[in-house]
Amino acid sequence: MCRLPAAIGFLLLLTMPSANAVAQEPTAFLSAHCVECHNAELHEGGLNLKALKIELSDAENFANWVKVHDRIASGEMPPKAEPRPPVAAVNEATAWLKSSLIAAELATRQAEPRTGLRRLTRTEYENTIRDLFDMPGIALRNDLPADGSAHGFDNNSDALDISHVNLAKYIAAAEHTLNLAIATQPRPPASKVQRISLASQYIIRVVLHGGDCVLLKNKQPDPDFPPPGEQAHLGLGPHGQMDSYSNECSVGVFRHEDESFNPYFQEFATIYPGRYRVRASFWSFGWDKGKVVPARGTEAARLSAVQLTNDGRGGGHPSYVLGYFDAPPNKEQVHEFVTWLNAKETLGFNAGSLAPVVNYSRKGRAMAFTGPGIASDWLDVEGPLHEVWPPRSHQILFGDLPLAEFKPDESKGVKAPVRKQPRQEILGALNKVDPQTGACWTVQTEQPLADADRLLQAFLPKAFRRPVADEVRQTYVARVANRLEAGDCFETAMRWAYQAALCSPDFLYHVEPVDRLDDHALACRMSYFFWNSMPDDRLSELAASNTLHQPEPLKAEVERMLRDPKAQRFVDDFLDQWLKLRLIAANDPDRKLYPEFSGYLQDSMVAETRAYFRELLEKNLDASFLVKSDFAMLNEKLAVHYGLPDVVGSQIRRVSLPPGSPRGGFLAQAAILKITANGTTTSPVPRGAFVMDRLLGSPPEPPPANVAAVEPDVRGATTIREQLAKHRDNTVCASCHAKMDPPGFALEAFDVIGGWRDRYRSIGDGDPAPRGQIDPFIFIGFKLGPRVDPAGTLPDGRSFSSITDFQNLIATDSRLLKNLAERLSIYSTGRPVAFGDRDQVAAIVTKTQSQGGGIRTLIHELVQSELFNAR
Amino acid sequence: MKTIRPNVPRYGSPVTSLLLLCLCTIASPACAEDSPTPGQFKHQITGLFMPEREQDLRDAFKKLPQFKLVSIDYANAEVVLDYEPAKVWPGEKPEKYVGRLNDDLRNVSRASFGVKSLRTKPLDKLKLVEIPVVGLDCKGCSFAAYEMVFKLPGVERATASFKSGKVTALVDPELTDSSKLEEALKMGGVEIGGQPKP
Amino acid sequence: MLNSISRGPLSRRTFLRGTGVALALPFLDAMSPLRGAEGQAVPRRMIGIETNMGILPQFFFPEKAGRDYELTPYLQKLAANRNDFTVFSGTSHPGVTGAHAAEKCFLTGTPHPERGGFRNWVSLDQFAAEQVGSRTRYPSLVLANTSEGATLSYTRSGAPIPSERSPNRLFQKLFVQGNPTEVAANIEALRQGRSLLDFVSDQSKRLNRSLSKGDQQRMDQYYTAVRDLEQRLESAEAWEHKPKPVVAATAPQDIDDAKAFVQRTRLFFDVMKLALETDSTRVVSFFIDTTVIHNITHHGNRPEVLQELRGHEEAQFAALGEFLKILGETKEEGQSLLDRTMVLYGTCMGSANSHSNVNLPVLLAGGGFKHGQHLAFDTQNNYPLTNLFVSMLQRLGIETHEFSTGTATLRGLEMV
Repeated sequence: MCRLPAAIGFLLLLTMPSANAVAQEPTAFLSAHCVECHNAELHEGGLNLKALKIELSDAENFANWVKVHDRIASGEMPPKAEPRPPVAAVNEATAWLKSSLIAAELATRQAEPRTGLRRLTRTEYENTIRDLFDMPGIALRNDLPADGSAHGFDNNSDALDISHVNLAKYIAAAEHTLNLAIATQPRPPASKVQRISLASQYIIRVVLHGGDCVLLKNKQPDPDFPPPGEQAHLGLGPHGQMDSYSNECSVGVFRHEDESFNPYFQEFATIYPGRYRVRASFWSFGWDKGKVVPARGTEAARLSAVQLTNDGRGGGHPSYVLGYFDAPPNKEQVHEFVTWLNAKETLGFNAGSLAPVVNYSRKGRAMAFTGPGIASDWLDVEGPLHEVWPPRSHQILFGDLPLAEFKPDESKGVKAPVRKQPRQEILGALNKVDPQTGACWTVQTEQPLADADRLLQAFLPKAFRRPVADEVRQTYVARVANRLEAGDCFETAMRWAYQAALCSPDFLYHVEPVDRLDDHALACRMSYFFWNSMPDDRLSELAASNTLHQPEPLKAEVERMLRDPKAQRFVDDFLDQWLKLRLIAANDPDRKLYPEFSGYLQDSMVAETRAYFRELLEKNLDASFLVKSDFAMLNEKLAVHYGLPDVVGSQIRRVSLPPGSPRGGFLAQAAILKITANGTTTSPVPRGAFVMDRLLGSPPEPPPANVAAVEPDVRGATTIREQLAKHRDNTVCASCHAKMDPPGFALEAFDVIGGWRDRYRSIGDGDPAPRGQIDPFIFIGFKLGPRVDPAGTLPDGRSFSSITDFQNLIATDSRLLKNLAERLSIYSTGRPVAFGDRDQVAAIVTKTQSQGGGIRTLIHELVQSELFNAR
Repeated sequence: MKTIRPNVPRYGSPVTSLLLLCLCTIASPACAEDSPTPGQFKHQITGLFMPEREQDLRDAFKKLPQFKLVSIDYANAEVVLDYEPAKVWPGEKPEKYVGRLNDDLRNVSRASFGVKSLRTKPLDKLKLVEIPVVGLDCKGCSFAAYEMVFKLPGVERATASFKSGKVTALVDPELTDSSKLEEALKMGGVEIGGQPKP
Repeated sequence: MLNSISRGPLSRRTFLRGTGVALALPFLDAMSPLRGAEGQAVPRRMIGIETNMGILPQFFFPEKAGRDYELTPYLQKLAANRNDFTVFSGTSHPGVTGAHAAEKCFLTGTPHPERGGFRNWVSLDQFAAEQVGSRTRYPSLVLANTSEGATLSYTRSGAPIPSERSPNRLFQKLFVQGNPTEVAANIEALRQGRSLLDFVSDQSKRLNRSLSKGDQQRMDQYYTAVRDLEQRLESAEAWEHKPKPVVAATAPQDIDDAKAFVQRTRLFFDVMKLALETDSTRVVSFFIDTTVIHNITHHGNRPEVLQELRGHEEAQFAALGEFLKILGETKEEGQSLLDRTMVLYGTCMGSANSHSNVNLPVLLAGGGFKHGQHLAFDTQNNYPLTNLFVSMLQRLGIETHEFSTGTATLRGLEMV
């Protein structure tokens, strides 16, 4: 090799005074150790170091030199086969590169702050409006265009474009918000309690006749409505006339929801958006050809909020899950919760834990059926609930200005405020609008401009999350004055100003000072980190008194914020993106291969991952728990899925794992395993890439762009492992696959829905598959194919033969904590980790490790760091 | 078609047997009253398809305080009501009274009870038909079966009960017979056959 | 120069601001009108369609170049209009790599979409709409048969424009009238909207003064969005005063099943034809998202998988064939709608199996070109597809000699 030049280079470097070493480009080093492969003819890896000038103000050039620095510093380059450059030379070269890169970065800081100006993500937008107006369920997010993603998160300015479409949607969203927020009557809508039976819905009556449901009275079949057997019931109409489906009966459901069967409690369809208290009584039972017998265990009933359109007819209404509720064996349990319902929403039911079963096509229908059922006794909806009137959403706009009747003859030249009369549009819904007097009520003021000024003085700083200059406020007041002159009433004129405020960049953007954050910007950074929303009063007070940035108040606030229920938004939003939970429903597992998959399982998976992260936070556990754990957060469904005993019920709780169990950590959680598979098959490549990227922070390189397209021929190969062996025969691919495959191989122990497997499932050839824990009503059509081989070798040479081996090997990897620190930093500061920030991240990690390495400590250290407090 | 005449008091002997409707009606000459007077009126009820329905009928009339229910004759499916038509339906033409009563009764019974004009044909000209049926012992199903037959031309009065296992009807043999009823029931999904229960 | 190739997004923006060229000039009738051979203004249209999961090259590309080529299995589905389209081979967008990342660059040609910090350029349809859009009620239609997020259209500031995913909603938008009170309310709302936008744009100017340079570029995007919307509202107000066209068709029923992408495509084609016929718009982008079959596009040359994939793609071409046929049969002033409508159809990957982004299967139908041939370029050293875009813009009457990475019109394609 090139020993002579190396020696000369070495001597040259030795003879230079160290002070000057920094000023010298490492051309000598590169000529000696790098250029032999990285030149114009041979450009290995696409890199030609002879032609690569040092122009660090160019982003692409900068990125390339960062790569050069990293490769040299980690020892990855020169390749192992080549002679090693002397340590001192390496240090000099990397030191020079490092200081130059940092200097170049600092130089751009004037024009380009690290955290670029960014607007609110659509989740942040929705949460901010929800908190600002105290309307915890107003639906805005899905009407806004999807945000992009940069560096793994959507709250980075590179991910947040804004086009005229966004603006149009913001205008509409502000309109909708104000419509809901402003009180139009002197008294709240009447709060009523309505009791609804599932039997009131048309589709339930249809399936009652078909035998997929039964009517139960006193936990026995209703003598007045015999379950259909070989005889079916005649006509729904006559039964309705005979009041066969009376409210006194419970409905026992055998059938899981499907394309034709979607039960709703449709006699209630929300007219007045707001908070409602829901109470529901459920129990489970066994059914044996006409008799109620002991249930097999606790079942899970699911309630959702269903968004009806038009008059509610037709199917396929979108819905979101409100929760799963235990239906204990043969004994009812009453559940109660408060939720927000939007207009035209009703409550949907599903027998979540039951396997899909239909009786209507069975000879003998319900009388020939033996199996489990979930009974719904009744459901109460109480509301809308209003603690105060006018509601807080109105008060934040109009303070305590009185509401009075708008009399056109007394208000000459003034246009009445626009009112849309509420109506019950849903067919079959029994709740009605309150009797309307026809009078129009609106806020009254004797001194409109003074009041406008006063109200805006209270509102604008809250909405903009920082103090608002008088001149700015005056522009809004001036507009109100204009509108009043144009003939708008006070409410309409103020609406105009409020709508403008909600569309102005002061609201839509995170506005931060150029260099160090002031306390208001710090408060926002914290509140959007932990609550995905604006600061609350306490946080704002601390910011106003300029004490927030001090270590003790800062620490106390972090604690307070993490304990607030709103912190769940951080868990959800962060995991949605870091662990890609947003993609949980991207693929439907193949029905033949994975017949036991269900919505209940999927929802439970997501709940597990979120609860696990929450537990790591609460108990301040260290990063090893990301991959290996002695406990798991499970409900009964997951426990059965994972083969763990003695967990009863639908709620997630902490469960100690038997020794040797791989479960618990993210690596072995069904949600992660599903997201990294494609619904039909697993592949070590995406799973391995996920581990490398998301957990270890060393993402594999994308395939080279200007290499001729390689068409891997996988004909004739059987297992995915064998297919990859063929990939590895191609040297171009091998360099990355040697790193990517091993974690993926270990994870081959789990199938596409996160279940354990020793053998692959197949549709074609194979041995009969034992049922195991799979529900007896599910048809097992798959067979057992080839054996799974989860063994592998890490790039450093250590080998493993099982997933637990692998977990033990990487649980102590220091990259886990470092990667998490980086992810949290990217998420909370809205920018990637700059080259110059790396030392800071390392310092945060070191400080955390010295205090036990816990994740809660990590968050504290992050918030206290310079990284977090500076732009 | 039958003509609608003002209702006149009648005297008829009550039926004793559930199965045999032996009604000997001695109709007194109709007093063709053009101006109704307060008093009692007999009406033909539809919807009394099984004995349990008698209570339902009473419950329905409780919701109609303007009518005083004097008596129910289940076998004949007739009621006697005490009311003043002119007060109950002011300004209404007498020939519309039956229709109005029908509407009122339907409104309070989910349209399961109604009123039609009294029979014109004497009982000895009518035939009793009995059809064995099999089905779930369910009031709704019985009502459904009843609805399949009671409006057929020639059917004066019908009952249906899967508890007892039969559909009965008093029919005008010139207009219909049991085969037509059976056909209607079969079309509606009712299974014919089986043993009638005592 | 209405467009410019940059060394990077920041410098391009600076350039555009520096020349003082108004960024959006859609609604000035001072723009030179389009002229046909007769000297009358001939309405010309453009539709850009991408199917994102590739097209199997072995069933698409003909062997021979020129006019005598034999129709391949896919092109067989377009046989009725053989003389109305041109097939291209050996072309791709220079520098556009990154496998699936390239799907957002089909109409933009922006290089390296897979790199960090990527910012897309204005798409072909939006660029055209800026010029010709004011003539119709809708400057352009951005359509997609997809789940959310997928779109072919990008604004000048690189922001993706969300697409319309429902044929039913599209039909309602185009042909269902609002009642007079609604219209009056709409007009008032539009005026209020413009007034509000005026106000917030002042706010953004104020805010701008305290921002760093880099941030000012970002706030510029907001400012541009505001101006764009203002102009749209103004134009929309003018259209509010005109009644919507009446069509003899009924609104289509949306199909929920994502796997039924061919039927869904057909529904869109139906409404698109009506939209063109009624001159509701002259610029359409249509993204056909077939991600549901992504798995089988990695066929690994397994025969049974290839067979299945071919079945899907043939069905897609059959739908396209029907669309071209009906455009060809619809008459407008003695010419056919197809003669006046350019239909670009293709994909962003030359081989979905290997994720290659070169040798893209693409064809152009209609619009007023000398078609009926296979233009074969160099498969080892691809010809820039963006040159085709320059040809298409010129066909619309827009005076430009470059677009994105295209610097000339496409060699071998003549206008008629």
